[in-house]
Amino acid sequence: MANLKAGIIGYDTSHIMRFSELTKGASKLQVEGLDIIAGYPSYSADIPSCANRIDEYKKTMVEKWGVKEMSSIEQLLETCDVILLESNDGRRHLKEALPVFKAKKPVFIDKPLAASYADAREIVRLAKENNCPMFSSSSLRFDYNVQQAKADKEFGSILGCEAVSPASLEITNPGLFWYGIHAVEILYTFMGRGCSKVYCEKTESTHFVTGVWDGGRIGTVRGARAGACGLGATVFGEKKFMKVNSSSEIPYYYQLLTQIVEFFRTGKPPVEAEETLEIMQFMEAALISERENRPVFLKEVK
Amino acid sequence: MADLKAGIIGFDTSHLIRFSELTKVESPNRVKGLDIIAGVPTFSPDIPSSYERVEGYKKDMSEKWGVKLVSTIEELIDMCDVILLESLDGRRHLKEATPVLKAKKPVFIDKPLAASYADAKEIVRLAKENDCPMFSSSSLRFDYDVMLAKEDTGFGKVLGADSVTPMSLEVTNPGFFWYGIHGLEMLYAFMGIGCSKVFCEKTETTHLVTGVWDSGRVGTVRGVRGYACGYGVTLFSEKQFKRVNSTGKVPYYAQLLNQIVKFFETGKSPVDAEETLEIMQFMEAAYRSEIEGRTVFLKELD
Repeated sequence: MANLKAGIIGYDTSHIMRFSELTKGASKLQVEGLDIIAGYPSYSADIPSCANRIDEYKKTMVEKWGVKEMSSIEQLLETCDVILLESNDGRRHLKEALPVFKAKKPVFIDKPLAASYADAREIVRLAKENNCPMFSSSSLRFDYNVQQAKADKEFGSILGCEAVSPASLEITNPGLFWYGIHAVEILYTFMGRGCSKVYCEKTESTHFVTGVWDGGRIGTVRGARAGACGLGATVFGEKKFMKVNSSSEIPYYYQLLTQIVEFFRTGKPPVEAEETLEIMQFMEAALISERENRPVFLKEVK
Repeated sequence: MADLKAGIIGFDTSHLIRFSELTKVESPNRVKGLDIIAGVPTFSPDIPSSYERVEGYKKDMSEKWGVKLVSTIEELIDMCDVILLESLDGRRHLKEATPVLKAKKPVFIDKPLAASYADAKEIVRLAKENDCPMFSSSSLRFDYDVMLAKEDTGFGKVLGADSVTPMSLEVTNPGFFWYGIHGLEMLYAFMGIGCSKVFCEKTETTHLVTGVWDSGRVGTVRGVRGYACGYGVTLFSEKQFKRVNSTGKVPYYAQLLNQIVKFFETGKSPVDAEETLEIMQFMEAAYRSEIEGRTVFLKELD
C-alpha cells in the first residue's frame, strides 16, 4: 500500500518535529505509512510560545525535513490525502478545520480539540455534517503504560482514578485547555464518559479538579506547576489499584502517530467524538468552577 | 528501668488485643517497657461494632492476657503509671480523658482524638491546663513505609499529596472521624499544618476531600468503600514524585506502640497537639462541606 500523503496545518508546536522524526527515519522507532509532504505554517501571533518558535520551525520543516510550504489550506488540501491539524492554539482549530471537513479529508486535530466547548461542539457537528473522519486526543491516552493498564483485566471495573500532569497556563486557552488536558485525557481513558459535575481548586502551583461520575465514581485531575509530578494516574479498580506512570521507553508520540495512521487507513477514530466532547465540557465546567468557586454541573455548559 | 504499668480505658477495639500481643508475647516485633495490667471495659451501647465485641474482649483480656478488670477510671488511675484511652467511639474521649488529665497520668488517646472539633479542643485545653502529657494519632502516621518516605531527603519540600484509605462510616462519629482519619493522618504527616479550606465530595463509594494549604499547596484524601485502595499517599515534591504504599512490613501497631512507649518515657509527644487539632478541624470542615455542598474554611469552625 502506498504511503498516505499528509499535510500539516500549524507550525507552532514541537509535535511537527516529533512527527517528522518518526516518519522520516530520524528516530529508532519509525511509524510506517505516512509521508508528510507539505504544510501550511500558521501560528498565533499573540501567544509568545507560538510566535517565538515559528521561524525556526518553518526553516527546519523545509530544510531538514523537505516539507513543502504552502500559502493556503486550500492549496494544502489539493496536494494531500490526509491532514494533521497541529496548531498549538485551540482557538484556531474551528476555522482551520472547516475547509478540511468540506474537502472530506480525514483529519487528526491535535489537543485540545478547541479552546472552548462551543467551538468543540461546532467542530464535531461540522465533521458529522460533512461525513469527514476526524479525531482528537492527547498523546497520553495512547501511552504504552496507560494502554497496558487499560487492558489489564485484573482491575475489574474501574471505580476511581487520580490523574496527574504538568499544567502550564496560557490565558488564551484557559484552565486545563492549554496543557492540563493531558491529565484529563488519561482520566477519561480509565473512567470513560459520564461525569456529571466538577469542582476545581486553583492555586498558583496547582489545579485540582474533582469529578463525580455515574454510580458515584470519583475521578480527579491534578495539574502541577511546581515540583515533580510526571504524567500518569493512580487507578482504583474493584480488585486492584495501581500507580501508572507514562512510559520512559516508548515515546507517546510514537504511540499516538501509530493510532493516527491506523485511523487514516480505516476512517475509524480510536476515540469517540462524544468522549472528546465531554472532555472539553469537563474542562470548561472546571474553568467555571475555578472562577466561581462552586461545584459546576457539566450540563450547565452549553 | 522497670516496666511502666499501663491501664486501658475502653474494651471495644481490636487495638487492645494487638497491644496485648505486642507487649506480652515474645516475637521479633515485641514492644518492651510496657506492662498492661488493668482496664476499664467501657463501650458504646449505640454502636453495634462496639457493644457486639465488648464481651469477647473482656473475656480475652482477663483470661488470656491476665489484665485485671476494674469498674472505674479512678480505680484504674490509682493502679497505673500511664493510660491507653482506647475507646473506639470518639464521643467518649472527652469524658473518659478528663479524670486522667486531672490526675496528670500520661495518656495516649487512640484515634480519633474526639468525634467533634469542639470536644477535641476541650481535651487539648484540659491537657495543657493540667500539664498532662497527651497525644493522639492514627497508627498510619507511623507506618514503616510512611516514615521511611518522610525521612527521605531526596524529596525536598512536599508541594502536594494525594492520600487514600478505606473508609467505613458510622453515623455517631461522622464523615472521616470514624475511619477516614487514617488517610488524613498520612496526609498531615507529609503536608504538616496550614490547611485553610476544604471541599468534600461524597458518594456511596467514595469521599474525596480537597484541601488548600498555605502558599497554594493542595492535599487530598480519598476515602474508599467497596473497592481496592490500600493505605498510601502519592507525594509531589520539589525533586521527585512517588507513590508510597503502606506494605505493613512492620505491623502498624508495633510502630505505633513503640512511639507510645517512647512518649510515656519522655513525656514528649511525637505529634504536636496543634497538628492533631487541625486534623480534627479539617474533618469537621469536610463534614460541613459534604452536607452543604460548598467550600468550607477551617476558620469557620473556630
